[in-house]
Amino acid sequence: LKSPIHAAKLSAAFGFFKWLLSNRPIWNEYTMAATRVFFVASAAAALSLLLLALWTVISASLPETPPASASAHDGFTVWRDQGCAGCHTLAGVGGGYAPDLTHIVRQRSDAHVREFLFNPGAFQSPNSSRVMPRHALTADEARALLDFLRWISDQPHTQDFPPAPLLILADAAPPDAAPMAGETPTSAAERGRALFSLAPANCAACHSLEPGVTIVGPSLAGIAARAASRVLGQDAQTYLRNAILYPSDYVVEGYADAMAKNLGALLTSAQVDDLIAYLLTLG
Amino acid sequence: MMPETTPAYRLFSLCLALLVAAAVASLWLVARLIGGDALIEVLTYADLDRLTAALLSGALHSGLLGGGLCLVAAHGIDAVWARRGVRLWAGLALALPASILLDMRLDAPLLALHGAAMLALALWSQTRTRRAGGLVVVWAVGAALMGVGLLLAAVARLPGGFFAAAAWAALADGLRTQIGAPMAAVALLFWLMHRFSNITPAWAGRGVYVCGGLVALAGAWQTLPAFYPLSMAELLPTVGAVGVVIVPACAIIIAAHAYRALSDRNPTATLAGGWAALGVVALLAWGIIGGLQTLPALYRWTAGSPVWELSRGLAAALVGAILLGALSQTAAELRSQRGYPPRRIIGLLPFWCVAGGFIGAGLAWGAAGIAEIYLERAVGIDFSAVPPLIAPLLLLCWVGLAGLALGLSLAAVALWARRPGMIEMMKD
Repeated sequence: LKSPIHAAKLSAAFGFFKWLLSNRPIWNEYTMAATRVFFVASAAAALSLLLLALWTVISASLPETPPASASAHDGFTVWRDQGCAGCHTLAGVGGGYAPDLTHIVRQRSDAHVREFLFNPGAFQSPNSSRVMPRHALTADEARALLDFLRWISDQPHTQDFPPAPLLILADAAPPDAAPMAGETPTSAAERGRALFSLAPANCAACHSLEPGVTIVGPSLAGIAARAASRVLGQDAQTYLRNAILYPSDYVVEGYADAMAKNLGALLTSAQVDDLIAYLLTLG
Repeated sequence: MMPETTPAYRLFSLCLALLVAAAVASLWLVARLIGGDALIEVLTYADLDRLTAALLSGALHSGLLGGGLCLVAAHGIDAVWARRGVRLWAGLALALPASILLDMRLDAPLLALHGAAMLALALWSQTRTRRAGGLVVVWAVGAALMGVGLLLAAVARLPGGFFAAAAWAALADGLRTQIGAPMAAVALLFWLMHRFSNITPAWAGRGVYVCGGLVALAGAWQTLPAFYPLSMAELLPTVGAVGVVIVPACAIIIAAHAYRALSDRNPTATLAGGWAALGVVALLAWGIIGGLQTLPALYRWTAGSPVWELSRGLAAALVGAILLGALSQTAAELRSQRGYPPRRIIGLLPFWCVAGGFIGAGLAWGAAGIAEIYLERAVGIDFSAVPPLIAPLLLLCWVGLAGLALGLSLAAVALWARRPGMIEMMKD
């Protein structure tokens, strides 16, 4: 090794370690230039590697995969805007707080997923402390989200994620599948359920259906069982009707008298009946 | 009269304050995972996660900007405009967590502003210090890559397909957290090493180029796994798998450089060496854990799990430790406390609390992640049944984070209590 240049030509790695372990002045001029070149080359190689990866995703693979429908595209917008990736993973992308949903549409029926989106509290396992927030999606948004999840599940390169099918059993039995709001409900309870989260009633803005979760007013989980014993002389149906039309008559202990007083003017008597029918199903 | 403090000192102070807040938010986050959080309806897990990340980002960005000003100032250039700019930056750094708490959904534009500020300072430093040598160059390239990454993060939110958006987001995240921030931190590490050890400025100038390049390579390879599931190209996992050798090797070579300085300390005896050593521990763990996950067969199991989060957390820990070292080394001079023993500015207790907390929390989090993957994906236990099973490990992680938060809080209190005005008051 007669000169530093010769040494570097023989073996860059060997020269580097030799330089690292020695501090001879003879190396100084050469290594300053060489290290600068090494830095530029490494940074360029690193960026090239990442740009290559980006290119393979954007241009190389997509034409071979099933294209996303307009509805699936809308579903991706819902997924992104609702921040679903903060908790759930799709094809390895996202958070680990909640189950991976890459192939959820193969494990659950559409009706089940839509019901879950409407009322996640009903599926809450008593053994799990992890709670899914209620996102109050419209029927169109829920449908688009399902289309998006179906599209993801069909992509050839997502088949390996996750490596083993995840079990999402949950102890709590989901309620029977029922049509979403906006899908022509047939029974009074179904119409009431739709009204619960839609104008003009929009009860869901203040009342949760998850046990112990307070938004503004008390949770309505299990209200059917409590209603009959709330006010002496009032059965469950009478109590609920009074609570909707004359909320100041009885205010649940620990809560302010903040409920809207004009529901009697906003709702028809049939709508009030529907709401009561729905609330009586929340045993 | 209070001695004048520099913009770099104010940025370091802001960094420390935000690190304390980020540590407290992390405690809340892990408590949420354990299940003992009574405030679950106040802030969802996703929002809490975003809040923690925003506080940590604000802290690291502020500290790295402060470090950059220190490097530039070492070349005799006084950034006069920075005195007023610091207040603007502080507002910007605090706006991101505030927007999350107020549910204003301004993450993307605020991150873009962060990126623009980083990019602007990087370019300014290059125009003013063309012959400044490796430290400023490597810091500026790191800061510029962070700036580009932050700007890309805003682009990634524009309308587009899932895979394209995920790829842009992976690129942005890699540039920011795996390449840019560690590279800028390595520049600060060499600047610190030159100050607390007997290595020569010329050696530091050469070493920073080598290590800056190695960080770029290690960071790029660590970013690649995020692209594996997004593409059908088989080339990508094949190239990525080489990272299992390259990434740890890069980390070991950088650590060897640091060892040379740590084993030949000068008599200044500040605690910067200790913080630098902690940063090197984080760097080695980052290299080994991140390197292993470049294997496609392994990444399939760790994607979206706490183990994947760990390698990103270690990159942040590496940067944070070096920033605390820089603060420890320079606090006295940055606030004109000449003659004050720099070792006492922050003290040993916060260092050991942070070091113990970081190592304990990191080990427990990694163990919890491995246990979660095994139980959920290998054994096939119901998703909802796994959290109670790994709760003891998460509890250990919480205890470690509590130590870390305590250490950072003690450091902040010490920095405040030993400010020049207070010491003069006590002397009187």
